[in-house]
Amino acid sequence: MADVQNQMILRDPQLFYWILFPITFVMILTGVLRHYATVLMQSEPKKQDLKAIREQRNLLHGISLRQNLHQLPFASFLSRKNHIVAAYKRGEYLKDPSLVGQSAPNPMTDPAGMDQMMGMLKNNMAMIVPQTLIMGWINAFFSGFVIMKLPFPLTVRFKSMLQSGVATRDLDVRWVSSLSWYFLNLFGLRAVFNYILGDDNSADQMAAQMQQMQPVAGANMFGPGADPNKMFLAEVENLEVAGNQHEWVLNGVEDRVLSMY
Amino acid sequence: MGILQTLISYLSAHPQPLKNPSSSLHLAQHAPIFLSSSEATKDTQETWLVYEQLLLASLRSGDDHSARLCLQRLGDRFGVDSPRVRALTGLYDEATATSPSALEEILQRYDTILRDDPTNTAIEKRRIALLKSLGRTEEAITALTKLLQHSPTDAEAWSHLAALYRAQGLYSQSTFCLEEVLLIHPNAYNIHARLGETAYIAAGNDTEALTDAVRYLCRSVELCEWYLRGRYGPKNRGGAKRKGD
Repeated sequence: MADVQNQMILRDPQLFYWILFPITFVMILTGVLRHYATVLMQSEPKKQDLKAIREQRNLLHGISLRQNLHQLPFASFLSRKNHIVAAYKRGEYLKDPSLVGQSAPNPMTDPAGMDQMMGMLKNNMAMIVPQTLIMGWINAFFSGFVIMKLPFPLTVRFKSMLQSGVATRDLDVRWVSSLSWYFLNLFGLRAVFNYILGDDNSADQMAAQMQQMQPVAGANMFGPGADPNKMFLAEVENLEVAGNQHEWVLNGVEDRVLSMY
Repeated sequence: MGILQTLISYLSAHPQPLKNPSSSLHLAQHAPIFLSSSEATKDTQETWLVYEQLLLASLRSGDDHSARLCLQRLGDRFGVDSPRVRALTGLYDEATATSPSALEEILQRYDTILRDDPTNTAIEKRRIALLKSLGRTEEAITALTKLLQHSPTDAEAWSHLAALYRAQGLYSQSTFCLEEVLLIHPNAYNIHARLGETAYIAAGNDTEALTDAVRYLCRSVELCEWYLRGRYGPKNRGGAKRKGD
């Protein structure tokens, strides 16, 4: 223990060619393969019909009116607001007015929702299957090997990261086990993939997982399960509240321009 | 540096090459070189964007041969039925049409496409542009209002409609459309200036309306200090206002 720094382990130099190199090679290849598999499995974005587009854009119209209300003189804001509020309350823009009052459709039965689910499932499969396979492969063939020594010293904390699968207390932290090499590759190959496949690739598992953790907020707005009528009514309230705080940007603009000089 | 790289960097420096003649001419002059180079067969996203821009630029500068070639390759890659290629094909046909009857034929084709697929906004807009260039302003206005009913967040369509209304002398409608543009792009100084001009034309001798016009122009100067159109505005209007008093 005292002389841990100068520990020497007699290794077969062939370990490098038969473990370290193959693991790296296989990891890169699976990454590339996954990228092309994802590209192949991508289904074409589904076309929306005109009524769905109309519903979405008219809601966005109300939102942009609420956000930029200060650009308009009060009279024109008021007339727009009244028109939009009335139309929203009547449910004029709804894709399917007969659905008002019913509970939100079950996302499992909604065909649009099914598509999304299938896409997610495919993505997950493309991620989990190769990961499991390689993990099993490494465990079966290479577990327990110490394959290389890092050229710089590290603190004891790194032991669990660099020596998983090799349960020895006294081994210097600089030695890396094969299983840990796999993990290092899993996390660290993103730059290599960017180089090989271009910026927007789907080879990296970590990036894909990250995306799943935080789905894009805007995309979900009109997702399956949301009740458009409720969204319209909420927007009506927002507009009514915002309307009380109207102040035209053009008020006093002459003085502001003059004071610029 | 390959020709593709040159074109991509040129396009990133001039994001809208169609805005002025010199950059579209520059692009169009590169089109034949690019089309005959080996890099033209690269299947990346950038290549196809370059193809699209080259098509538009060569149409503008009268190089119909290159445009035809671009269109053909785009059609081979994405299918002749893809909405975007369809719109570009329409654009090409419009540009190379020789007689008004040919244009009418294209218009009818647009109608058929729209009947099959009413969500094809690109074709819908081409149809409006064609109606306008055929001089049928009323029909263009009707078509635009129809388009705006299903997508009221389309600033381009609103400002187009404003221009059409203004040409018809319908100033209050024009003002309404410009205000809609402002709701989508609140800091568009050119729209503020145009609102000011419209308000001025519509005002006549009404002092209050003239003040509003000056304010709109002031706002455009406030947003963009060197916007000359906004700057000349208050100067002239100031003079006119004094005369009016």
